[in-house]
Amino acid sequence: MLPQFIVSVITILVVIHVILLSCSYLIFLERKVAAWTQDRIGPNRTNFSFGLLPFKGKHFGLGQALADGIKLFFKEDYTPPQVDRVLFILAPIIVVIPALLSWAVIPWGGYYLFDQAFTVPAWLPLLGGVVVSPTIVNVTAAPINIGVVYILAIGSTAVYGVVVGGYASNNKYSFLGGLRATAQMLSYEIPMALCVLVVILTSHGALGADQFVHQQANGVWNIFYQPLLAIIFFACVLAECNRAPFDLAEAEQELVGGYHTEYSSMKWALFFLGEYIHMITGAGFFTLLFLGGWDLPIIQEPLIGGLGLVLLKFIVFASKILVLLFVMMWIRWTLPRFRFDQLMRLAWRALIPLALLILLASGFLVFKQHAKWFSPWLYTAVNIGAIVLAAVIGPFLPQGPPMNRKVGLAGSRFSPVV
Amino acid sequence: MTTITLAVSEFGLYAPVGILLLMAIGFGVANVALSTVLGPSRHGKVKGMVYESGMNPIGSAKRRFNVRFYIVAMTFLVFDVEIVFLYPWASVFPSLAEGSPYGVLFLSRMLFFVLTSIIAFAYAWRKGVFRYD
Repeated sequence: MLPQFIVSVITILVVIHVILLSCSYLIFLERKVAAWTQDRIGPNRTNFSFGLLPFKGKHFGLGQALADGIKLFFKEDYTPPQVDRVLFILAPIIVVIPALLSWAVIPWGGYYLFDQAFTVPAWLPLLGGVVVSPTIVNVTAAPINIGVVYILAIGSTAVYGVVVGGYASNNKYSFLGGLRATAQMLSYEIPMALCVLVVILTSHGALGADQFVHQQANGVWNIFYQPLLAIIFFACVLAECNRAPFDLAEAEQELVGGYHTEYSSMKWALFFLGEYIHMITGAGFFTLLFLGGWDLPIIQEPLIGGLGLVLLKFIVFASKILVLLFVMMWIRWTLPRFRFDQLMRLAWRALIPLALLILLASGFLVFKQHAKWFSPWLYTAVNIGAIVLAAVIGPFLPQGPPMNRKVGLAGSRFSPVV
Repeated sequence: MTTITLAVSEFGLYAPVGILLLMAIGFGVANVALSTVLGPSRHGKVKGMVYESGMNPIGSAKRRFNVRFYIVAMTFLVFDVEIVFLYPWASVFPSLAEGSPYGVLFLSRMLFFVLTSIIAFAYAWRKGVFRYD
């Protein structure tokens, strides 16, 4: 138990710094990707001297992220008089807590083997002199046996910060943004939970986060067995993080800033920090379920090893997350924003029935998994079948009244005067 | 293994979550406090007004809102509770032994359970719950 605890604490200390630093650089990367997409240059001037130290050169603009952070601390933290003061100050803290908690179960580095017994140095407080026998530990912050349920549970508490922030601001933009964000996050939680449910079913009932990697390591990744499910899950991750094309809650053209309209300085930054940490966690969750975690394709890596292997697995995991983050940014700067009714229709009328269909079909296949004709590739067939079925019967499903029908104004370009 | 020994052995796994929680609370509070201390503080009558794109604010923001958000919350509750009940099932069902007599029972129970919520879903759809126009 003790070596696991020590490794957990070390993992927390390392990963929390990696995540917080990479968040500020993700904002820099986002601006660079935006610039690349729109054929601009992007931030390239700010160096690490900030005009104070004797460094020369531009350093590719890498100082921008740090400069922004320092600037935000020295901005005025204004609390308007009309707000609910307690909730207004609490909201950014409530946003950032689940964001910092939810990555705790992600298995960053596989397993570490203490191959020899060792004694904790005597000068350490509390633990000095304790003998640790050889054992295998998880390189995870919290290696609990219900990892995915933990991520879903903590992830769904992220709604509270947004609601509280929107309500406490006493501003119509904030209020509408908070309402929209709540409806959106609640709606997309259901298909997300259904997707996780299907993956649990097809991974022989695994619930711990590291078991999913076991299922996929040195084998076929789940994304090949469940392509449609992976797409649904990715859309839900985007919606849960309030990312474009689902960033209705902070649509600048309609709602100014959405739920953080009245926020300034570091309180405002905490909302953004929460969003970016959620992106990292969401990408990590996707990697865990569908992309095989720390598994490298083709190469047969050993399951248990020393520090080098742990570092290698961490790098593999982090690069998969980086690729997914790049895809998220790419999507944000390529696709236009959904309308609110389209957003809700997508969740309730498309993603949930499709996920339910795949759940039922996969449940039946799991029931028949000992049969002779069974092969995991039947899951792929189910997914493709679901796509075909949706394309065929989708147009025949009961529709609401036609939306945004072009108004038949006489003389307009839709109904010319005859 | 009694419940208490199980709780003690599991506590070691959950303790890092507690540490992380303390760190997260500390991080949030420290950031809010630091920016309050470090930044300037100026007040003004117009500065304190509700931001409504430069117009004079009309009424309060604490007003009635559309009932469809409430309906979303209700349907969410129905489905989320259902999914929570399916998790233990999904974790046990695949490990049933080959030819186990419980296989059919487990599958049909889940099918019945999902069927009830599919009926609820179809009813809600017919009632126009998922119409956001």
